Amino acid sequence: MTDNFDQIPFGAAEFAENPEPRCPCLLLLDTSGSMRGNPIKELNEGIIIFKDELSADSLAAKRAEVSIITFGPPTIECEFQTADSFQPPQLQANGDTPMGAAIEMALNKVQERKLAYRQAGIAYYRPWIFLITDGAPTDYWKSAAQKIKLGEESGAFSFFAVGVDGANMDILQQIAVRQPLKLKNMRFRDLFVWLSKSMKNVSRSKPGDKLAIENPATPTGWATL
Amino acid sequence: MSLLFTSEGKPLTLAAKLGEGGEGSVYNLNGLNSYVAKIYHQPITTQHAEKLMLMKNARTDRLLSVTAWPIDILYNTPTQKTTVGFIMPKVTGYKPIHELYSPRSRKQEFPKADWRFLIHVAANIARSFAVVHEYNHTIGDVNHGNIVVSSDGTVKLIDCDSFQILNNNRVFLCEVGVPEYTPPELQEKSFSSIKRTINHDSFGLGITIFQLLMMGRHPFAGQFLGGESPLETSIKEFRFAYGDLAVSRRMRQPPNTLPISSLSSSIADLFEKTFGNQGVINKRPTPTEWIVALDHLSKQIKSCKTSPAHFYYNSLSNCPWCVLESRGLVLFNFITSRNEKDTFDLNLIWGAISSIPPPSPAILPSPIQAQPSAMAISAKQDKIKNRKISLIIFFATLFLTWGLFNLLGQAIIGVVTLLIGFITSIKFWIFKSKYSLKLSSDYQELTQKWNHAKERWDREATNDRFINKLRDSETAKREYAALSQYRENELQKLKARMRDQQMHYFLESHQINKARIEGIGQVRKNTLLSYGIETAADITLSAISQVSGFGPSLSQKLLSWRKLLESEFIFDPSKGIDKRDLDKLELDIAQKKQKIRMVLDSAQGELMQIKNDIENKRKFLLEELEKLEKEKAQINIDKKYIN
Repeated sequence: MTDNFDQIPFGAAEFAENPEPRCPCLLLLDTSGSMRGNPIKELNEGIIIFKDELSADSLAAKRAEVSIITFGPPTIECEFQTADSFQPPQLQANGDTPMGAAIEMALNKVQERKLAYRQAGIAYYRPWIFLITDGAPTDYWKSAAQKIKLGEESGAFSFFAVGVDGANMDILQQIAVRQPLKLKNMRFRDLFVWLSKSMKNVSRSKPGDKLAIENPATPTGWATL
Repeated sequence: MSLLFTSEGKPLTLAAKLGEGGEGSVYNLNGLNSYVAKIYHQPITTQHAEKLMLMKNARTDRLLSVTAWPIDILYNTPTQKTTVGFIMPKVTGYKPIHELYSPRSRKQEFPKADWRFLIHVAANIARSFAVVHEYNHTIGDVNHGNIVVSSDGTVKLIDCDSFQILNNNRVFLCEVGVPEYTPPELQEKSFSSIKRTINHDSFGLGITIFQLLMMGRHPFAGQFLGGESPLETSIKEFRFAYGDLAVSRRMRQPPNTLPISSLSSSIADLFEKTFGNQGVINKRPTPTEWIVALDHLSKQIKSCKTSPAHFYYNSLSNCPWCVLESRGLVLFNFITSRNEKDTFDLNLIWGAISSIPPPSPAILPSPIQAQPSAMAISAKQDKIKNRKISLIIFFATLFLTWGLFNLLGQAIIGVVTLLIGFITSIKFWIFKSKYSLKLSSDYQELTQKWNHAKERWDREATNDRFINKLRDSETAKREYAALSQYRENELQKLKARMRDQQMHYFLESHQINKARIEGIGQVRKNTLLSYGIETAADITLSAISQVSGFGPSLSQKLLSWRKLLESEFIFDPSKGIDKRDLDKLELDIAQKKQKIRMVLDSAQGELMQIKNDIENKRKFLLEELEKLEKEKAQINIDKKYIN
């Protein structure tokens, strides 16, 4: 109201009605042809559980924001929105694995979202980018890896990589700064329960704090290193 | 955990778990309905156990009225060996403060809460802080979840075991804190060794009050002109994003927020003192100061004429919520109070409206008779003079040419002389004086001015606006009178649909999630849920066909489940129209009424204003037109005279 001629940016209502600090989480999901069948089904159900778990927590429902980018080809399945209004999509598997292009798209999306928060005067936590893949990039990925390295160093985001059966863990290791995790026996649900729990913790933590997350790579956890 | 014991050795057992936090979980207690137990996840230190014991002994009714204070300790043996938790009053019907200050959750969780309610709750929070401070205890960890509110606006402070407790010069520290509520002087410091003060609590209190009054905004979340600025940094650097000094802190308040001055200058001043750097040296406004200021503000509130949900500081000339609403930001539910005393009298109001006389008749100035001006007379003389010269030159040329041809035989010179003479003669003949030229351009300009003034006259000075407004009011009056008929009709419609509606509500009461349907497991139920298919009433062939993974056989199973329920439904005409439908209708009528009343309430004033406005404009425009009319007449007569 300082200036009545200020334009109303798109999304103004969203931030006015819910000015809680945001903790953005971008799911970067491999939906290439090799995910067909059980994996994509489990993944879809995992996302539904993710939504349910987050919305069950009244604070996380207002703070955690979810966006989904799938590949290939790189597609924005849903834009960032808080967990209470997020609608899980039904993902279909086909195409190849242009992981490099998808990662760059994700990095841009996160950058764009942070700018929107800043313009709206909304505080935010360090964004999470969560890559899940069952293959190896079919495109040029070195520049994406370089950008992840820079981003992690400057604290612009945290990038996590999870490999499903068949994923090339060597390349994942080169892409992500953090140790990539390998999903045990298609345990997508456990992964998403863990992710929602982590988001809940993050949304209650001090922004920019060391992540208070449970190690998933325990004997009972969903991952191995 | 099987059997627990109170400090008096009385055995107790835990019932259902109510919630889980970082330090422990909260349970119901069997046989004790109004109390709950908090059980720690990890064994606690002896110092912490001592603190709990001390709190138990220091409990007072006054403290218990505003907090969930520990009233007894829980041990794992009857002989008080190891403290595993404590008993506190059960706080039911209260919701975390963030559900109230965030507009979206407020509209759901506190649907009737308006700005007055928010001020009221803010003052109650200050009161609860003041009570804790009376005993020299400190809250320490002020945050979005530790303050809970009930629907009547009373608050309670929970998680009291983290309070800083003072007893006989012994201090038990509060070792936790949330950075968004932590004052600048404590940012990035470890709480395990810091003694908290009332001045620290006042910072957290200020943040909470700000969030309540300012639609959930955090005072330090704004647009920092120096790039990224996380909340803790902004707090540490005193970058309060509101107020006159924000510019000097290179901060701009977020778009679509109220200016801090719209909360009254005294409240704005308290915020500045709380968040500015002078607050560090022990000078932040205390809870008591807040109570006084907020109570005072609550007496300076005015209600909005447009929306019954809007209340605002009475020194503002316009409703700030309406401004935001016009941009599509609806921050309060539109709810009309049914118990409101009805002082609206249609006949009285219509009488007042229809008694306003229309503006007096408008008469345009009539044509004016004018005399040629002195300028015109001299221009006319000039013209005659020039014509005379022209004639003389003409005849002289003829004579000269005749002489050159016949007497001197100079034919070529004769032709040249003839041409020069004729041209000169014509030039004098068509001579136009400066004034005459000016008349032409003036005439054009004047015509434009005249047309413009006439346009304004037609637009602003005729009775059209008055007549239109009166007609609108008449329409509103007719609609108002027709409302009872409308209500009747709608009721008849509801009655006719009573069976269908009863069936609908019956089906709606059967949730898919809780039902056993052959072939539909939890996963499929979740899928249905995500498509908004929640109850039997939502099951239709067209709705299910949208859901991927539901083929004919599954659809059939769902449909037969619905059919089965339909066959079990028994219509009960004695139930009448469902209350939900009646409520909806009443709300609809209340909103229509409100809208019409607004039109009629303001009509009298507006008509008066329009009438005055028309009459003023008319006076002004009439003068203008008369002046122009005079000028026009003068130009016309002058032109006529000269020619």
